[in-house]
This record gives sequence, C-alpha cells and structure tokens, in this order.
Amino acid sequence: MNHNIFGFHPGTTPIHQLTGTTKLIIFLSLTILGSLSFDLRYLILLSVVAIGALFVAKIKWSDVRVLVWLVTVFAVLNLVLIYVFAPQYGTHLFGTKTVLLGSGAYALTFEQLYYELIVFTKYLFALPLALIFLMTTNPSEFAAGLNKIGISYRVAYAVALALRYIPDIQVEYQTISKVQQARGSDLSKKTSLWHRLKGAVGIMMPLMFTSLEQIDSVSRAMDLRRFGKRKHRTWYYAQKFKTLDWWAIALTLLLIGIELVLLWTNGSRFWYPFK
Amino acid sequence: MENETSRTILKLENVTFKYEAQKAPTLKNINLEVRAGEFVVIAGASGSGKSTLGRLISGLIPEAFPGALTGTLTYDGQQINDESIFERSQKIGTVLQDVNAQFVGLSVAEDIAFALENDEVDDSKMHAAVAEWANRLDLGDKLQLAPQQLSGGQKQRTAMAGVLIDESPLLLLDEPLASLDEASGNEMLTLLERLRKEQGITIILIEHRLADVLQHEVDRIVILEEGEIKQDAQPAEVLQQGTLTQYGLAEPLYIQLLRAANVALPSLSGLTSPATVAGTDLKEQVQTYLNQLPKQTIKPTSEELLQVTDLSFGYEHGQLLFDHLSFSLGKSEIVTLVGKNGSGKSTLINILTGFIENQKLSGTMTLAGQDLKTLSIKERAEVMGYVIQDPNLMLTQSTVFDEVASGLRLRDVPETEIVARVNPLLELAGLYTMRNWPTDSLSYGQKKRLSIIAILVLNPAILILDEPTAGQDAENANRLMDFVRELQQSYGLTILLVTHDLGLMSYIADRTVVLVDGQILADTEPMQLLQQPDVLAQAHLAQTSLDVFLKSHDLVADQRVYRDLHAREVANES
Repeated sequence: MNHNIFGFHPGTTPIHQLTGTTKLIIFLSLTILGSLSFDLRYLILLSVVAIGALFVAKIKWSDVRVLVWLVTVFAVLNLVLIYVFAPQYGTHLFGTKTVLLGSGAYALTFEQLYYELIVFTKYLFALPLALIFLMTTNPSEFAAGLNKIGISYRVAYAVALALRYIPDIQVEYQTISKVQQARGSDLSKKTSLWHRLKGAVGIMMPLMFTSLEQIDSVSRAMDLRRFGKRKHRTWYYAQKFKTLDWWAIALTLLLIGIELVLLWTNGSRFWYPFK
Repeated sequence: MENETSRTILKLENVTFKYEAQKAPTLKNINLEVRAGEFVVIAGASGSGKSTLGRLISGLIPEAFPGALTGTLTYDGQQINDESIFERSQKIGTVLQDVNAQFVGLSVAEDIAFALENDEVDDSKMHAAVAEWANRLDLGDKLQLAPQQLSGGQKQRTAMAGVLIDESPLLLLDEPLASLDEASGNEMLTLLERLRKEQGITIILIEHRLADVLQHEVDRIVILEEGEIKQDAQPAEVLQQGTLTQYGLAEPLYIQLLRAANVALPSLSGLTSPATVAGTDLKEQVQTYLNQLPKQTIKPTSEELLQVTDLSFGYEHGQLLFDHLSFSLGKSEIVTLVGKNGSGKSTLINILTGFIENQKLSGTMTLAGQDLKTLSIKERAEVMGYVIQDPNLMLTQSTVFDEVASGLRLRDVPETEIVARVNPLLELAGLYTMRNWPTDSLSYGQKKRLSIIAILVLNPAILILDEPTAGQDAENANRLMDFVRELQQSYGLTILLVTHDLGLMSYIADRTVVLVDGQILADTEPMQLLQQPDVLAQAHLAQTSLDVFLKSHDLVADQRVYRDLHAREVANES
C-alpha cells in the first residue's frame, strides 16, 4: 500500500557495488571507533563522512523519514535524561566548571553542554551509517559477508532472513493497521496516547501470530532443501573483492589511523581545548 | 521411460500416523503405490489428511511434526521410515503450499541455487545448473528479480526449479494451484505434463481443485476422507462414479450438467475433458434438461449507489496505474470484479476504502451522493465494509463475541445494544455457540465468516469481499457464498466480490467488471463475458468447463444452468 518501505533497495551507486563483507567491516569498525572516541573533531569528521556517503548512496528521504524521526526523538530524550540524571557529568569529565545559567546541582555548565554535543554527534554519524548499511546491503550478500569473517552460516543466514522479512512485515503491519482503522480504532494523533497504545497492541497480536507461522513455514522449506546439513555452505552471491572495496577499506584504515594519532596526542579518549 | 513405468518407486503399507498433540490418528491404514513416471493426484476436503500424507512423503513427518508412525514407507524397494529430511529431500523434491514462505532467496537465481549452496556445490557448477533449470522452467530472463516482482506462477516455477535442481526423480507438490489464477494454474499443469514427458519425473500432486487438474494427463486420483483412502482410480472412473461431491470436492461443472441431465456417464467416451466427451443422444438429453429449467426472472436495474468517475491514480514515482477509470455499483447488486493477478483489483478497492491516499489521485467517487474523498477510513467503513482475503490479519480480539463487538465498542455504542446487534449475526454465521471461544480455535472457514460479520456489524450498505473462496474446498466455499447471499437478501446489501473463479461468478453475479492492467476491459453480465474469449484471455481467465462443453455441442445456456447446478451441488453435500 505504501511504497516507502524501509529495507534493502537495489541500486547502482558505488556504495551499492561494495561487497557485503566490505560494508560490514566498515560499518563495524567505524561504529566501534565512534563510540570509543570523545574527540569532537573526530566525531565531526566521521559525521561528515557518513552524511556524505548518504548522498553518494542516493538514499531517499521518504524511505528513511520515519526511522530518522524515531531516532531523533530518542536522541533528544537521551540528551534530556543525561541532564536530568547527571547534570554535572561534563564538569566531572573535564575537571573544570563554567556555570552559564542558574546555580546548585542543576546549574547549566559549559562542560555539560560540550559533553552533550559530543553525545549528539555520535548519533549524527551512527544513524547515517546504519541507514546506509541497511538500505544498500543485499541481505544475502550481508550473510555471505558475515560468514566470510568467521560467523557460523546458520547465524549469518538467520540475520539475513530477519532483514529480508522487514519489508514484508511492514506491509502486513500496514494492512492490519488500516483494517483496524476501518473498524474504528483511531491511531491518529487526535486520540489519547493510551488509546493509541491499545490500538498498537491490537495490531501486534495478529502480526506476531502470522509472523511466527511464516517463520515455521520458512524453516520447513529450508529443511527440505537441506539447510544445515553440512558444516559449510557456498553462496550464489559470493562476491570477489574489487578495486573499489580495497579503496573503501583503505579509507577506513586511514580513519582508524587518525583516531590512533588523536588518542596518542590527546593522551586519552577525550579532547577538551577550553581548559 | 516406457520400460520403467512398471517399477514401483514409492510404496506406503498400512501406514497410520497420529500427531503428538492429538488423540486420534490423522492417517489410518494408508496403502498407496506410486510407479515411476506416474502422475498421481491426492485429493480431499480440508481436514481429510491429505496435507499430512504429503508431509509424510516429504519427510517433514516425523522430523518437523513429531508423532507416532506405524507401517512402512519404501522408496525404490528400500525402507525409509527413519530417514532424515535431508536424505529424503534428495529423493523427493517437495514444493510447499505457501510459495511466499518457500521463497528463501532474495532473487530467483539465489532461490533456485539454495539446495546447491547447502550441498557446497562450487561457484561455476552452481551458476551453470541454475541457468539450466531456469531455462527449462521459462525463468531464464527473470534470474535477478526479487520475489515481490514475480507473479504467482513465476514464484511457483521458481520453487519447482529450486527442488528439481537436485535431479530428484519424484516431485511432490502441495496445493500448487491455491494462489494461481485459472490461466496460470493451467500453464503450471501443462508444465508438469511436459516435465514428466521430457525428464521422466514422477509427480504427486496434492490438490482439491480437481476440475482444473482433470483436464490434464493424470494417471490416478487418490481421494482421502477422514484419514482414509476412499478411492484410488483413474480419472474417468472417478467421474463416472460421481463421488466427488460426497467427499467435499468440486465436481467439474460439465459433469454436474451431465448428471443433472440424467446422462449415463459410463456410456460416454472422452469423459475427462469437456471438449471431447461424446455419446449417442448426448446433445438431446442435455437439451431436454435445459428446456425444463424455470424461466429466468429478470432483476430490475437498481438505482446507483456507488459511482466512480474518471478515476486516475499512480504511485509517487511510477506511471499511472488507473487512467480515467469509471464504474458504478447499484443498490442490492452482486458484482464480481475479475482479472488476472496484479491487474489492480486490490489497489482499486484500497482506493475506495481509503486505505490508499495520495496526491496523485484524481476523479470523483460518490456514495449515495456523498463525496468519498471527504470521509476518513473509519467513516467510509460505516457505509462500505471491506473483508480482506486473509482473516488472520483481521482478527485482533481474544474471543469470538468481542471480535464482532469491537467495531461497535470503538464507536461507543452502549453494551446492551451491542449484545442485541452482535448475537443475531453470530447466529446467522453459525458461531453463536462458540461466542466465548478464543478466535484462534476456529477453523479457517469459521474465521472467514467471523471476519465478515465483524465488518457487517457496522451496517454498511456495500460489502466488499476479496477472494472469499480462495484456498477453501468446495463445500466450505459453497457454504460461505450461500451465507453471503443470505446476507445480501436479508439486508439488501450491495456486494462487490473480487475473484478469479468464473464458476462462482457465473452463478452468483448480476454483473461483472473485468479489470486488466488498470483498464476496465468489460462491464457486462456474466454470461456475456463468457462469450468473449479475447477478453477472457487478456484477463488470464479460463472458460468454464460447462461453457466449453456447451459450445462444442452447439448449445447455449444462461445463468439459470449455473444457478440450478449450484443448488443441486449444495443439496448433494448436506
């Protein structure tokens, strides 16, 4: 019904052409680097790279809009909660206290703002990275990639199947939701949150049952074609590394190198120039 | 292959099977022998045990469905009772009923390759084998397509290629016709005939749509009822004995006609095909029957209720799916919407019900003078109830009563009124005694009826049913459609039926609209449509066997025949 389904969309951009293994390696290493680092310069660099890649991959805003909003809400909530539960965490981290506003435990400090800015940039690079990975990686290539870096093919295939069914489940969710709306369940913003939650639970039940049934049939179909019989399997879409993959990995190595240099010069994971 | 046909390839001796969770055995004392190169059809109504028999042959029983198995299964003289699924799958290729679940890969090529991937076949060999089987099953140019881009027939063929690639000599198919329109179903059966001839493959087909199957070169029909084999005979013999209706299976329409005309079936030749059946005085006997049918009462044309004018629609980036489409529904009319899979039937209904909204929608839709576009999904549902194909996606409440009451409760109707409105509907649907049961405990047919009354409780003027009889055996389908007709008569409902069953259309519809690739090809009476073979072909519809028979004997008939035959069939069932 709705053509803006979130999930893998085939394409021809350079990012689509990278092998699943390359994309997995880059995704994992950059995510790890970014979550370790508290160096604002580095996080901004990663964000620029990730957002740039989003454009290279030609990802459409309409396809990711819902998820972006969800993550934004979550990020803002996270930032607010950090302030609520640890209003002086920035001060504690950076060892100085520059009060900008108010006093007492909830005094707004420059250090706290700076710290929250760092947390925000983490979202800013991690979200585009995850979007690119999910939208441009063919689940089967991804499974082949996981298998290649040493993960059991059973696990790899299970992950790929989960990714493969994301679009199907979205379509089913939309069908059930429309039917429920027709019967009178109002899921729009006009009604109270409690009503909407109750409505959502009503949709989840049939969705869960049908999904479980589907899982059953898929696993039977897989048994009948000997999935899991041997220790290894081959992949129809096994891909060979091309020049482009090596360049992408070289770029990632460069980013890792920069992080190492920064760690060395900062003497810690933090960078705070305002002391 | 000729010299091989005498060799027994699969044999079941005194096989009884009871599922772990059940008290009584589902299969009782089954004796079945299949010879190499044979084409055997296993038929039976829902609950007859035919799917269980299929699971037993495919090896899913006892591995995926544990239970107690007695008797012996032999394959090529070797006992296979305790064989693993993996070993069994090398001998017997199984295509499961749900083609979507069967589709494991993300593209046609990957799905065909799946078994070889698991056998660690190397790259070049795998690509060669995939290309070869794709060509054999006419999928050569579809290799890179995703399942969503394929028609039902193409998915089915992909699934077949995916098991045939093992070169297993026996192919087992579980209700392959369930999700196909008539033309694709026929193509599929023709393909099976060809595979048997060219590759010498033995075929076991589990199916309840026998009318379609019997037109092809089938060797034997095995009929199951309540877990026992009731009949195991050649198609002509099965038709002669006329036992199909009694076992809850649909008898081909032309056979129903011959029976109604009191023709002695054993005296006829070429009985298995409506085009070849012949006998002395055959035409005269049929003519006599046709002449005695009561005069047809002409239904007066009713006032228009729903009017769609110049409807155009397309998705955001694509081309137009509908370009200036117009049609209407009259009050208390039964209209069928027919056309091949993927021709826009569901999209059209989703637009009417408001499930699809977008900017690229133009034209007018009025219901009793009211502009539909100004109404929300919820408001439209109060005048136009839509029952989607899969009842499992409609049922969200825990008990049967709550399910029907849900629409009223959400509209804040007082509980005493709810009881007064829900109970009569439950009675009508034969679900009153089960009103406190959990909805999951109902059978598929019961769920279907429940989903209809859950919509009907809002008193809509129009009821839209999407493929109401799909996947149901003849008896259940007839019961459901009679229920719908009863509703139509007692509430004066207008009914729009989406279907590709021309037999159903022929007896139930006042009018039929043919939609193909977003265009209305015909908007006419059912009998007129049957006279337009070119339109039928474009819509992937097959002529009814009754029509084929009548034409080949230069006879003409109208809707009375279909209605009379339907009434006789229903009377025979109970």
